[in-house]
Amino acid sequence: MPLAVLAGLGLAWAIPRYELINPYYELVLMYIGINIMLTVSLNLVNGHMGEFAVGHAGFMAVGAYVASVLTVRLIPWDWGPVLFPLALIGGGTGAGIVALLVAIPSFRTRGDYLAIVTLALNMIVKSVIENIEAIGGPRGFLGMNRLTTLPWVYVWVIVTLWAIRNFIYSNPGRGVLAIREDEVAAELVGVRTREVKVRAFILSAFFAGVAGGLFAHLLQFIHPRNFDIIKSTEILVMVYLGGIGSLMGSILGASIFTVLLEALRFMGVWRMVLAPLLLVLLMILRPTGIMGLREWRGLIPADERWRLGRLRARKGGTAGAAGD
Amino acid sequence: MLLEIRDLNLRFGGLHAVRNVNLQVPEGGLVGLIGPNGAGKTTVFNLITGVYQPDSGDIRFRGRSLVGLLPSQIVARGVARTFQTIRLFRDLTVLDNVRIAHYQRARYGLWPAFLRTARVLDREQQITERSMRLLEVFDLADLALEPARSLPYGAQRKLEMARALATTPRLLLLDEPAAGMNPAEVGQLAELIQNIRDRFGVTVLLIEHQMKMVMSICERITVLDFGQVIAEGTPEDVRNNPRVLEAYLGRRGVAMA
Repeated sequence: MPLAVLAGLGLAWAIPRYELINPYYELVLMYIGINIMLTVSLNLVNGHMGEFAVGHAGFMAVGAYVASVLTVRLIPWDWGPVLFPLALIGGGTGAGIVALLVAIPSFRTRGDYLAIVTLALNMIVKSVIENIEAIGGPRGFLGMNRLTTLPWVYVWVIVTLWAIRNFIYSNPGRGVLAIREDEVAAELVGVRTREVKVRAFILSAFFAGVAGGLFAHLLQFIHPRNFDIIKSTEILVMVYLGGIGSLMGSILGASIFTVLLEALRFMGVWRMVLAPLLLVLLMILRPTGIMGLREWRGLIPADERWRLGRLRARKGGTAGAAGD
Repeated sequence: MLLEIRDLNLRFGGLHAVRNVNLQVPEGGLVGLIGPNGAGKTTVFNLITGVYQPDSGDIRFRGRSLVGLLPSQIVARGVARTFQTIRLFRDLTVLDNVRIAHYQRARYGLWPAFLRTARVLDREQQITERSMRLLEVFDLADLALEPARSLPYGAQRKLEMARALATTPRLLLLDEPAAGMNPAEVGQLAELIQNIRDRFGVTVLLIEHQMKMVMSICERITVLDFGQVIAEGTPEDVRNNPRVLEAYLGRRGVAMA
């Protein structure tokens, strides 16, 4: 696995360096990467934790604007490429703080209420941005250098997957799964459920914020309408298409949906109907998505894979027990 | 006394669900809590474990009050329970059901978890080994990687006990562990409960409808009816108490007519 990750990095570096593929395909690859980050992070809350948050684009917007203001107004132009990761982390942190402000009051309520609260948050973020003239208000914000490159997107996708994977396969992350299964029972076997929920929510928002920052420095022009409820719906579709509670599902969902959306460009405005329609169909036909709570072995930490392999081998030497 | 409940009251609107209940559980004891359906037994468990907050009265565990604490804080103090209607983490493996219950004993924080440090690997290995040892006690080790929902009913009840014990409780609350079991299984369960008490040094408070089992393994029994304690004593005392017989055989019918 580490070798594959390195090979991927080499490829991500070589593609723009030697112009190995058409720039349009390179752009699509970057969109896929950003969408993987958005999907993995939303899946943590909606899939692994079993809540229903619907305003992920709100966090993306906070990250996009914070990171853009940092690179345009604060960081000297020449330093941009070097300090870009810091600007992105700033964007993620901004989104994380907003998540904290929302999480504390809303996680005292259950289920449907979180959907309403996050939907409202998405709308509030959008109208707050529209009403701040200093960042362009409804006209949008521009002036960013094109700092988002394929290697950067790749690195951030790996960081996102790595952090969220390590979180899920550890003690704090098992608490997240327990909440999905039975919140009352989780609390009664010692899981501090409020703490777990707030942490997962912040982690999810952080990576949505970083993805927003990458998005902003790829387009070089952001607009409040980039982050409306349609965008949130698209992220939801990618989660439920790929599969809830699965990292591999998020990767698949984001990739398939992004390519589909690009391939259907000829449909023009009708393309926008696709996401809501797909969401409705998925909810009816296959609510757990392609992977549905399953995980690809390669995305399970090596030590955990080894432990499970040993347990499988122990059980009367059944086949396929190799633990690499 | 390990657990001491004094003048406990809880009302749900017009229903006085728990009325001036006093209950004492000595360290190392095996105490039964019985009564007709709707007597308030599970409500008492919910009050002890912090699922409900009492209107008045006190619950003292090892000399300190549990009132006002969150359920997870009460678990940290050393109280664990099982549920009358099984509440396992159904889609997770048998192993993970038990590993989750180590939440407060993992002893590593969020940042080491992200970095998956040597300490995390070490602790995860220990938690897994400890979970497997617990599963072995309940004959569930071979099913460790199966999803909990796939287990037969009796095994699910045992898994709930294993999960509760993983929190290292001093007091174990068992809510109708024999429900739905056949007489042979009930016999094995009675033995298992006594074994658990000796092996883990845990005190047991047991809600049960299977009179034979309660009478045979409990040292003391408290009888609830309509949220009130109507009798307390040894199995022999309780068996011969006229108020208990009335509660089980007659008064409910009379009251409802």
